[in-house]
Amino acid sequence: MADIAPIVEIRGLTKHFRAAGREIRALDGVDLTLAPAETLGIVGESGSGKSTIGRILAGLETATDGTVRLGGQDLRPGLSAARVQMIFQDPYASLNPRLPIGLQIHETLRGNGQTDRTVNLARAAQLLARVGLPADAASRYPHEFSGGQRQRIAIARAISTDPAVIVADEPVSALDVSIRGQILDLMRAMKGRTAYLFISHDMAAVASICDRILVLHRGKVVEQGTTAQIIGNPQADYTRALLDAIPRIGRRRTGTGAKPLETRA
Amino acid sequence: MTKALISLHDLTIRYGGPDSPAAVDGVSFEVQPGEIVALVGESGSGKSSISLAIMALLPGAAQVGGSILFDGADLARLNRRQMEDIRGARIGMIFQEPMTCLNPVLSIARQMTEGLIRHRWMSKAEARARALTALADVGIPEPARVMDSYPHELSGGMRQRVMIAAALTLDPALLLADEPTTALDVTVQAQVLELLVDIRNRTGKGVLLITHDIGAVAEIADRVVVMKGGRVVEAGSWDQVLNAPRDPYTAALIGAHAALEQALVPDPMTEGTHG
Repeated sequence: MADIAPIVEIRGLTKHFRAAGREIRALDGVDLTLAPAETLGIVGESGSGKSTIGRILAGLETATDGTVRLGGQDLRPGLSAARVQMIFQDPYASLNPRLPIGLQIHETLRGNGQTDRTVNLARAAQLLARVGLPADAASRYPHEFSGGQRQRIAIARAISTDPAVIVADEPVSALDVSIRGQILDLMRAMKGRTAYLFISHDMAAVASICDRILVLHRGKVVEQGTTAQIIGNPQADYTRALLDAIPRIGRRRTGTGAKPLETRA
Repeated sequence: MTKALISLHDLTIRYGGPDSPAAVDGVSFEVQPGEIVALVGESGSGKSSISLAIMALLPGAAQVGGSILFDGADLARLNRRQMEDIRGARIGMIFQEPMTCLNPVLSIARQMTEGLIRHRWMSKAEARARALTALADVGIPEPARVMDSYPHELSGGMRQRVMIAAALTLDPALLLADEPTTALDVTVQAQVLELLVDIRNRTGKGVLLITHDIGAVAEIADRVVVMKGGRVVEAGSWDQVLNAPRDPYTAALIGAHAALEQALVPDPMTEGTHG
């Protein structure tokens, strides 16, 4: 992919927060590139800074330092709004509870300059059918849907504007395991020409959908490579520990591996 | 077979009137001393209602049928005061989110010694010594320093260990662990699972592990009870349930987990190093 211009190019991305008088380095010089139509997984534990990368790209936060280029241009608020969409862990929190689903997709399209309500509602119906929802979904409200169905709605809404990049932040983490696979399958089927930044602590979900994986730990990139490389031949101790910790069928714990932890938050 | 620590017989829980659908519908199972029993199910399966019923924390409007026998008493029939003597002292509880059960404005020392002073009539000094031992037992490296901390000063994994230590100070016969790893980072989850097995090995306590995580069940459960829509669809040894499930729902649940896990199996064609 080296000869294709990246859709996202991030260099030296740094984000500092101040909390309780201490400076917290959420991101500390992160470099990454995302090719058009590529799916890059960002894996890390809590406090790794993984969500902050997505939020900066989506224009929800600003960087302390570093450059973010989207489609060859420096990131600015209008550019994020037009070309980046987000899918969150809890779709219920990101949907308006008082607006039928069809109108919410209309609002998203209108915010993107497509103002014809009739056209937008027709497009909404078409998108909702594509993500596997019943024909009357457009006229129903968020609370009438299950968690898995709401995530389907969030996907339909995210792809409605044909964005260059979708930032999916823990999109399957709140779902039951039987639904998780269905939503991952749907995201895979809906990929099209959109690039995905798939942010999660769940290495299995990331590995099942991503072309490449970047491992983040305390604001720094520990390792990145193709999914096959990260899963099959991890180089960093931290990546190995992360892979080894995942509970699996076929392994039994003996109770002898309990080790002391780091004390401070 | 030894006498069961806790046994549920035909437990039924309704949140509406007598004609409302049962959240828990005729559930029976037991936990023996020294045994880790996993109660597994997805959202809406009824597993959380069972957890609340065992702790007598169901809302007042809930209607409970059947029995929960523990220590010769039926927990489904005890009044609030009788239950307070059992909760914590005889049944230790570990929850998903330690911050919700640790009081943010009290030091760890205060929270860990309170029960010992109240239920075991210990002096402050005795209680502190016992709490320090409990913290060391769960692998906390500097127990004295942790004792004098407040919850927000500790990492998530450390708080979970403190909660487990607190649950152990009164030496309960049964540990009720309700989604104990769900809110934790995966590296910390692994440590907590190891710790639960270690505690069972050392103390012979019974553990009721309530979880949606098939991987955790596969790694530490001795017996597995699978719930769906308020009913038990299958129960058996971990080996039987995981490797030869009889119920189609159990098989689907394990299959869904295994399918995700498949993504973590290295491709034998991958060689060489990378950046």
